[in-house]
Amino acid sequence: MSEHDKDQEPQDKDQESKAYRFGVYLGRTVGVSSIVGFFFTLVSIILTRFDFDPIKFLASLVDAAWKLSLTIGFGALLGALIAAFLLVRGRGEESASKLPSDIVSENYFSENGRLWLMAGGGICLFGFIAVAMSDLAASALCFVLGVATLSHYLLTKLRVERGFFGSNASEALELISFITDHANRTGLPPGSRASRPYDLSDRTKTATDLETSRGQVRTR
Amino acid sequence: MTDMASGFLRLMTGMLGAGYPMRLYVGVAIGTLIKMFVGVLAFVYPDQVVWHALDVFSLTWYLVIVIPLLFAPLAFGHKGAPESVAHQVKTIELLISQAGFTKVQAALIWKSLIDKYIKAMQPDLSRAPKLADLYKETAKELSDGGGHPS
Repeated sequence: MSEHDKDQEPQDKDQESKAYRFGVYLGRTVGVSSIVGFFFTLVSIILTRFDFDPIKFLASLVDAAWKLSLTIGFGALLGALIAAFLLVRGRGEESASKLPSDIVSENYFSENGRLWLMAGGGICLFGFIAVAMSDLAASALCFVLGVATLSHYLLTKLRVERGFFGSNASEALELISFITDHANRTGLPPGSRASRPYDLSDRTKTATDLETSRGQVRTR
Repeated sequence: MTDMASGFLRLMTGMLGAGYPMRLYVGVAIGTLIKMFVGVLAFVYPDQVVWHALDVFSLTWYLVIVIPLLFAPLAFGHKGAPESVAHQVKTIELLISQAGFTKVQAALIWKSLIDKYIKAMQPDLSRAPKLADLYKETAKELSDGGGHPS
C-alpha cells in the first residue's frame, strides 16, 4: 500500500460516513413525511366520508377501536402461544426437581392437559363454523377463546416443567383442589398407587423366598 | 420466560375461562346449537314473531350469554377446594402482602403450603388401604418373626 492510498483511506471513510448520514436523514424525512401524509389522508377520508357528523364519527371510532382491541388481543394471545411453544420445545428434560408439590403438579398436568388441548381445538373448530355462518365477530371470539385455551395448556406445561407451578395463591388453590378432588374420587392422593402390603419389605428377597413366604401366609 | 411473566400470562388466559376448558367448550357448543335452533324455528314458523326477534341477535350474543351461565355453578356451588381452604389461602395471601416478602419467599410459602396438604393426605404407601391387605401384612410380620413392613 502506497502513501497516497493511506491518505486516501480516511477521506473515503469520511465520504462513506457522510453518505451514510445523508441516507439516514433521507430515510427519516421520507418516513416522517409518509406517516404525516398517511394521517392527513386518513383524516381527510374520515371527514369527507362522514360529512363532519360527530356521532357517526364517534360510532365509527368505537367500532374501529373494538375491532382493533380484538385484533391486538388475538395477536397477543397468538404471540404468547408461539412464545410458550418455542420455550416448551426441548425443555422436557429439565424437570429434575422431585419435590412432592412438583410431582403433584406433573400429575395435575398429565390428567388435565388433554382436556385443554381438546377444548382448545374444539373451540377453534367452532370458530370455523362461525365463519361458515358468516358471523365474523363470533368467529373472532371463538378463535380468541380457543387460542387462550391452547396458550393456557402450553403455559401450564412450561410452568410445570420449570418447577414454577404452584408458586402463587391461585395455582396453590388449584393444586389443593386437585389433591382433595383426587382423594375423594380414588381414595388416594395423586401420585400414589395401591401397593401390595409386602412389596417394600420383600425387595431384598429372591423370587423363591417370596413364593415360600406367601405360601406360609396362605397356609396360616 | 420467567416465573412472573408466565404466571401473568397464565392468569390472563385463565380469566378468559381457559382454567375450565370443558365448561368453555360446552358453552360455545350450546350457544351455537341454540342459535341454529332459533334460526331453524324462524325459518319453519315464519308467522311467529318471537323466533324472528330472537334470530335477529347474532351468534356472538348467544355465546356471550351462554358461556358465563356454565361458570355460574363455580360461584355458587361447592366444586374445587373446600371453603375453609379457600379462606386459609386468602388469609395467607393477605399476610404475605402485609409482610412485604419477596417473590421468591412468597413462592416458597405457597410450595410449603401445598406440601403440607400433600403430607396431610398422604397415607403410608407401604400399606394398602384395604383391611384384607392389612391382615396379610400382619400375618407376614408374624411369619417372619417381626420383620418390618416399611
